[in-house]
Amino acid sequence: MIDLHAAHTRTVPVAIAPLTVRFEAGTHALVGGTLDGVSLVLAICAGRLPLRSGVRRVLDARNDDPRVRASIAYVPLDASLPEPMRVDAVLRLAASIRGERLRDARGRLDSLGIGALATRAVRSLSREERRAVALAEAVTSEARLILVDEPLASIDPRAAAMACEALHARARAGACVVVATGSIRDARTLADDVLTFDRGVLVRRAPATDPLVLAGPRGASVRVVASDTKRLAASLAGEEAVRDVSFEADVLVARGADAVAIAAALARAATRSRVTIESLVPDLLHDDELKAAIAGDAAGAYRAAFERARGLAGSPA
Amino acid sequence: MSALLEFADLAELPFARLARTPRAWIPVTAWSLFAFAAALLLRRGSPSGSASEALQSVFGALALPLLAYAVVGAALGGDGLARGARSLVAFGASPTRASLAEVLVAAAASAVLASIVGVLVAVFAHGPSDPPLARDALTTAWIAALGGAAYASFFALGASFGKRGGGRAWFLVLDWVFGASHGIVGIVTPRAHVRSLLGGDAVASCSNAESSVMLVVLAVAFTSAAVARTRKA
Repeated sequence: MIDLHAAHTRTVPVAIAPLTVRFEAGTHALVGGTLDGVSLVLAICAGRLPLRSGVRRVLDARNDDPRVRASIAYVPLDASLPEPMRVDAVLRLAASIRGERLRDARGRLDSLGIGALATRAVRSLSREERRAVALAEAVTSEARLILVDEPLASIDPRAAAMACEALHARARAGACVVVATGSIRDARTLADDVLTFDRGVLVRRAPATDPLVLAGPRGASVRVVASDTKRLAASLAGEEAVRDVSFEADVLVARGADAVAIAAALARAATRSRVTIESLVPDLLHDDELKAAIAGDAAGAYRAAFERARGLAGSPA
Repeated sequence: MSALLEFADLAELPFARLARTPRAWIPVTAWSLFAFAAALLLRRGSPSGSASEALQSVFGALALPLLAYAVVGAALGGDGLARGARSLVAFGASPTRASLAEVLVAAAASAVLASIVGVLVAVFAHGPSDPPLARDALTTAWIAALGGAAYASFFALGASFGKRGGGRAWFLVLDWVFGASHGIVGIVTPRAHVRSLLGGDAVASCSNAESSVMLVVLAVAFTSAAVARTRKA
């Protein structure tokens, strides 16, 4: 549905390296922080950002095809609605511009639990309510491509609760849903296909179920404080999940591709060597910006994994 | 037919901005009242008739451009031309068509308002030595309408510069600076042609008919340039 071939663009301070990617029907998440350019990629897909080089094709047509334009529902972070109108009039206008049949505005808004906003004037809505209305318009339109920047952020909480299911329902109905998010947790909730970006470069594309999605662009590492780190390191020798180990003062740093697998290997090694693990801290992502954006969410998932690993380590040999 | 329906959809937003934003009418009302007051004062100072002076020095020189300036600002929601159409473009509208609808609504509103204000100024300042009132009012009406439309497209082009349409203010200054010229420089400004049509000095030796045609040409050219710029934005 969306084809980018060597697509390159730049808006200070972010540049998108030549990107070749194809999005079919389904749910796709672009993961990264502001400086990783995921919002820019979304804007490119929506045709709102001109390419400096490369090709963008949507629904097998060129950018400027008016039929294609009406088939794209794009909700940026600063989604704007026509200020002087009422919400129901806005939805009617949107349907008319898209060439769709007119439907009850309240019913459309109810799909995200915000039917009560139907008779409100747009200028009386908060920023979160406006984004919720824009998202409701997008998911209830007949657009075949739905592009949403941070679907679960800065949005009316009533809508956030139902947005995820609404987006999945559209994807099941044959739409191509692409979201941009700085949260890995949101990405895994919203999409089946996760693309991780690092400073404008697509570094990984994996199914949302793949544990590698949770690792950084250059793999994962785990910092371990244990009763005897030297003995623990020696016991890790046969573990394939641990690529190498190093020491920072008394802290053992184990590196590999998958932090969950590293944690399990550490647990096995601790059991074998009868070493007590005092703490495990995942060093999830090497990219600082991406880390700042997603560590809060990912740490929870890892903490659970490590708790399980610690449970293994603490069990009698 | 479908093109007309599409235009009606796209025109709904700028029209709603004009009709449902009371704040936007404050400058429009203020400049209109200013023109009426000045016309009445001139009439009092010259009992035999001062319509020509009121139309040239008050309406054409001040009220008309400022009225059109305010109308364009209101139609665009105080934003730039491309940003003003952003919410429609998000629904799949063509940026150029959405911008064209904005410019055309602003031009139409500006023409109608300018026409009404111009006629009232002519009536308020009319005296015995002036041409017959009906003829004067009719002539003023079409000149004001033409000038209002040309000014609206001129300021719409200005609003295509700057993220929030700040170029509109620069175009007002440009019109004042270059429009004061009677030479070739003034030929591309609405001000010089409106002044000429309202009885002032001709611009670059253009006849009234030529100035009328020039206003139409300028309106079309400015509109086209403004819309073309939104394609690039």
